[in-house]
Order: sequence, then structure tokens, then C-alpha cells
Amino acid sequence: MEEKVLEVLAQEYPQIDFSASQALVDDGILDSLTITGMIAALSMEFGIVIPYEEIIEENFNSVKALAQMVERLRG
Amino acid sequence: MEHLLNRLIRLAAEKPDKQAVIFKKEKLTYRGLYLKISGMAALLKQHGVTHGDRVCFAAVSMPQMVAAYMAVQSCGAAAVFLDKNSAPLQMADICKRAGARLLLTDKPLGGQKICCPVLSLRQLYEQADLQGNEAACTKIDPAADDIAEILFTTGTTGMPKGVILTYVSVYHILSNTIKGIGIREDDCLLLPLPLHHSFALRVLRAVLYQGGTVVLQNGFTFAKEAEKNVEAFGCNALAAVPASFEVMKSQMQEAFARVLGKMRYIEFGAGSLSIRQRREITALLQDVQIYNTWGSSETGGAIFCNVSEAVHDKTKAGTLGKTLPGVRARVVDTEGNEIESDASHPGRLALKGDMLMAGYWSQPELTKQMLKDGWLITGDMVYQDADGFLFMLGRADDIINTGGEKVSPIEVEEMAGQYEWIRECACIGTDDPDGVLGQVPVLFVSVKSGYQEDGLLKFLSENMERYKIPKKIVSIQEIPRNHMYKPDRQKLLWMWENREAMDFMNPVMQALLARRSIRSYTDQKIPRQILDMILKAGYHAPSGHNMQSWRFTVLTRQSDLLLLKEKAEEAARKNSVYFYGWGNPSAMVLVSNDKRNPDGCQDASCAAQNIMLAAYSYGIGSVWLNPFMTLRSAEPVKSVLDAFGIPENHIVWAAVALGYPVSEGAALKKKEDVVRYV
Repeated sequence: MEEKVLEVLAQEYPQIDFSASQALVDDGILDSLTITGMIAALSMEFGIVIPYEEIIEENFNSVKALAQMVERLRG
Repeated sequence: MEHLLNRLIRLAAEKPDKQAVIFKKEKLTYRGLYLKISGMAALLKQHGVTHGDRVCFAAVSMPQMVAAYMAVQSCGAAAVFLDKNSAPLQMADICKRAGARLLLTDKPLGGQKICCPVLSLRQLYEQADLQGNEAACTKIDPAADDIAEILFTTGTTGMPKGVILTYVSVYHILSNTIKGIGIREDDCLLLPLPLHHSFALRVLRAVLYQGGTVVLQNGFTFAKEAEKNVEAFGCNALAAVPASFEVMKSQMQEAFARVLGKMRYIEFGAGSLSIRQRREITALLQDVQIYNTWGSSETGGAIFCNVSEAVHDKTKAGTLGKTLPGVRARVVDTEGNEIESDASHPGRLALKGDMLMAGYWSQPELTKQMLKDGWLITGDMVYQDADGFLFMLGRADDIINTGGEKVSPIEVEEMAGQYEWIRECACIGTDDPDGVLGQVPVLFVSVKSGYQEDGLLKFLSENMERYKIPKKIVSIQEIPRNHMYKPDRQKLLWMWENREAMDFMNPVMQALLARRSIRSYTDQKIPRQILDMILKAGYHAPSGHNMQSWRFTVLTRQSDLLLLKEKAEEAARKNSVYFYGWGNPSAMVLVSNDKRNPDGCQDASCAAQNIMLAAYSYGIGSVWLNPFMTLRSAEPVKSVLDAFGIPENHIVWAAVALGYPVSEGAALKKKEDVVRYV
């Protein structure tokens, strides 16, 4: 799942190295508009809804955390 | 004079187990912080950092930033803070300007060349534990002119300026803050501000100096973080910028007063709260001391207002306040001579005290212009009233000279901001399109539903002199702001100069740009006549091949709404369908369409949007819910919908919840690069 998530994000934002950090938000790599775009890309690709409660920092800090969130929401 | 580092060394011995810095799961005690500083200092020395150097580092909102900051000073070097969100090119530029010995960051640099070695801040922080060399961090005894830190500010005109703070300046900045604002040891302060900024640094230093606890947070991008932090760590103080008041209010909704009501004080900095914001926030948080401080990189916090007190006096409601202890203020003319000022005779704000910067890094000419006889001449136009309270009229460059009369953009903004239908506004001076008055005021407004330009103009003309009335009012979705959420006046001017599109603004466009989803409502009923109008808007939407095979089922009884909600929740659970955001609407329109109509979904969507816009025009909030798209035929929902009379062969494409909003919805940033002209 991690690979698939990385592939989706890399295609959407080729200029960002998502695998560079386990703290994408903390390190200042993602800004708020990028996060909005990531939510859209992941929702569409995986057919999930990312609810308000899941839009928290720890779910967006790494590809691993994003992949876990996607798995969880796919149920 | 006890320097911050020395104080931290002492606190590590006296209160080793007290929490110093918290970031999510990571908690550093004063002892822990001291060990990190020591270890990092030892590593920095191994990399050749020594007295007189400059070390640049990404001011991430994490404990490693605090440890790096002190470790650099422990080596005798000056700390240079970089905006954690800045691009590699800007980082390279500041490193070069500062003549950095090292850059500490974890941000990928994408091949950008940096003039000095680059180390991972995170690794350095983690390896610090392995050093085990406590002796590495001893008390410092800097000379009076030793540089403690350099704060690079981008300013409005491009070239970054490096504000030099000596140890003496830093000490006085923090002691002014501690004495004037009353920072205490039992403070647990939530700090959601970018740590390269002078205001955030000042608060950070002061709280640590007093042995309090700082809880770091990455701004307000994630709505739930502030609430989580306050609850998890028992925060009793908050530092914020005025615009984050609006952000928090719209994100937290009803939780706002409950969560922030726990604060002993909230300090707003990097901008003034408007009079309206002051009234609103003191009314919402009656037991919280609300402070608003004027400061700058060059001075630290300098002028202080206890808003909770000032707001009750009509003549003081908008004041900047009075100087903090240790700070002297004067109002001066363009030559720097002190003047007697009042509202119609303002001058520049000049400040003096031991907290002042030593100058700008490598810019002696600029330093000479700004520092005269020990006074810092700021670019801010102010006046002082008979009781010694200072009032801000705006940046000298922003004051509008219209036909020889001076207009303060802030005064116009304050007044317009008190007009009920204005959400936020910003005033700039532009060339008079008629070429008569030189400059004229132009007001940019972001409005609420119900706004009418004539009403605003009438309100302004009843309350202000004629020449201050904006020549043109431009309605935009939101006021552009810089990284500290101050109105970006350069951008506004650019927008004005490229305003062709804005001249075509009209009430329909205004509604389209301003409508937001609303999910919590008051229990006020929507009058039947208004509902009728809203439904009219619905069935006047376009319908493919003019089929009009749709049906609008309107629920207004609370019992029906609650029944449907309950059954929808049950069906959602059974079918693993995501269901949220129902709220407490006072009415709901179910838009359904014959399932044989291939355009059924499109038709219903157009109708739903019409309904939401019509609702907005009456000041009614709305949100589109679509659980029934998938749950139409799932029991127990099906029986309820059937009982409401929705034809069995109809799919419910949209459920539009309606109600009078409790507060405004969150404004979502819109991507602008999605339009392509071919």
C-alpha cells in the first residue's frame, strides 16, 4: 500500500519528495493547499472518504501513516 | 543580567523534572532540554562551530529547534532562524548573506547549492543523547556586543534584512515581556506560531526563562490540533496572531469558548485586533485576560494593551496601549524631532531602550537611517492621547494622501469593520482614477450574506469625514495575507492595478464567492414564505431535455428530521457507508429523480446548488449531504423515505440541510491553477 500511495502522490506532486521525511508536516515540506490536494488524490484513487476526524497531523507526516490511514478507511 | 542559556542551565539543576518543551508525544523536561543542548553543542563544536560564527537552522516547531538555538549560543555562535516553509533558494540566500558556518535542516534541498555544510537537524538532535558529555554546556559570559541571534525579515520590499540582537538586547526583550505581561512559572503556553518570527521567539524565551512549559504546534492547518493540545497538556495560555482568532472561531465553532475559556491569558501579537474583534473576543472569553502587544524584530515586544480593560472605554478601545517597562516611546517628525501629537497630527513612532537591535547585518547605511541617537525610528504613524495611550494609523508608506488630507487605512478598516455585514476588510491608497486627488482610499471587503454596498457607504458617511470614504469598494472572497496573516497590501495594490475582472463584480458573483458549508444551526425556524422562494430556485434549475422528472421533498418537522437521521445512521452502519455532518438543521430538502432519467443526477445537482445559493441570499446556511444516494433502498431508510412519499423509483441524489448559522463556516482555500484557456 505504501508504494501505491507514494506513486499516487508523486504523480500529483512531482516536485515533492514524499519519501524524504517521516515528518512531512513538521519539517515544513507540506503546506495547507498541498494537503488539500493530497486528500483529493487519495480519496479518488482509493475510493475512500477521509473524514474530518482523520485530517490530523499524524496521518499526514509520512507515506507510511498515509498508507495506514487509507487501509483503515478502506475497511 | 542572567542570559537565557545560563538560566536554563540553572533550571535544569533546580527543576530537573519540570516540563520545558512539549511537541505531540515528545516531552522535554528542563533536565532533558539541558542534555540535548549539551550534546548538540558538543557535536556543533566537532563541526568547527566557534565563537563569532553564524549557524542557520530551520525553525521547525519541534523541540530540536529550541535545543539547536541554545546549543548554537553555547558554542559562542549566533543563531540564525530560517522559516521552515521557505524554499531551498531562500534558505541558500540567507545562509549566504549571513556567511553561515553550518545549515541545519531536514528539508530536501532539491539540488540547491548552499554556501556551507548542511547537517540534519533531526540527526544532530538524536545523536545528542549519545554524547554523554554534560561538561560541553557551561555557562556563557558574552561581551556586551556579542551577537546572540540574527532575525531575517523579508519586509515588503524584497531584500531580506538581518536584525542583529546582542545578548543585552535579548535579555531586555525577555525581561520587558516578563515584567510587562506577567509570564509565570505555572504557565503552560500553546505556541502555534512559526518560530523564526520575532513574536514567537519572544514568547518562547520568556516562558522558558520563567520555568514554564511551551507546547509547540504547526500553525492552524489541522483544525483539531489546538483543541487536542489544550486538553492533553492543560494549556493555560496562548500566543496567537489576530487572524488566527477568526480561523479558530470558524474551525472550533461551539468548542471555541469551552477550549479557550481555560486560558489565563491570550496574547495577540504581530498585528492589532480590530475594535470589533476586541469586543467579540472579550465577550466570548470573559474570564480570560486578552492582551495585544505591538512589537517588531528590531525591538521585541514594546507596546502593550490589556484589551480586557481597554475595550470598556470607548476612547481607548482601539489603542496600541502603553510602552512596556524598559521601553521609551516618542512621536517624531520626519527629521526625528519629538512632536506633540494628536489624532490629526500624527508622527512616526520612535523607540528607545536596552532591548533595541544593534543594527542590520551588513547594512550600515540602513542601520544609520533607522537608529538615530539611540532611537529606533519606525515606519509606523502614530499619535499619543492625553493619557499617554498610543494609537496606530498605519505604516507611513500606507498612509493615504488624498487631495492634501491624510487618511489612515487602519481608521477606515476599523470603521468599516464595525458594519454588520463585513467579514473582513483592508484599505489601501491608489492613484485617483480621475487624476484629481493624487491618491484615494480603496476598500477591499469580504462580506456576509445580506451585504449591500449602499448600506456600507451610508454607514461610513454617517461616521467618518467625507474625504476618508473609500472611492471604490471592491468585494473579494478573502483578504490576501502574508505568513503572519497580516493583510498583504502589496498584493491588494497589484489586484487593484489588475482589476479588470473585479469591475464585473455583482451580487450574484458575491454570493457565489462567499457561500460556505454550514453544519451547525440555531433553532430558529425558517419562515414558510422563504422556504417557498428557496424551493422555487430549486425547480428553476436547468433540466436535461427539460424532463423535470425531479421531486423536492421538504422536511420541516424536527421529529421527521430526527427519525431520518437515526435510520440513516443505522443503515450506514449496516452497509459500512460513511455518514457524518448531519448537524441540527431546521429543514431539509431531499432532491430525488426518476432512476430512468440518465440526467437525473446532473439535474438534481444543479437544483441543489440553486437551493443553497438561494438560502445564502436569505442569510440561511446550508450543506449538501448525500448518504441517500447509496442508502435509498437500504432498510430502515427505505421505509422512512417511502413514508415521506418519495416515489419508489426515485434516487435521492441530494439532501440539502438548511438552517440559520450559529457562526460562519470555514473559508476553504481555492486552487486557482485549475483553469486552462485553450
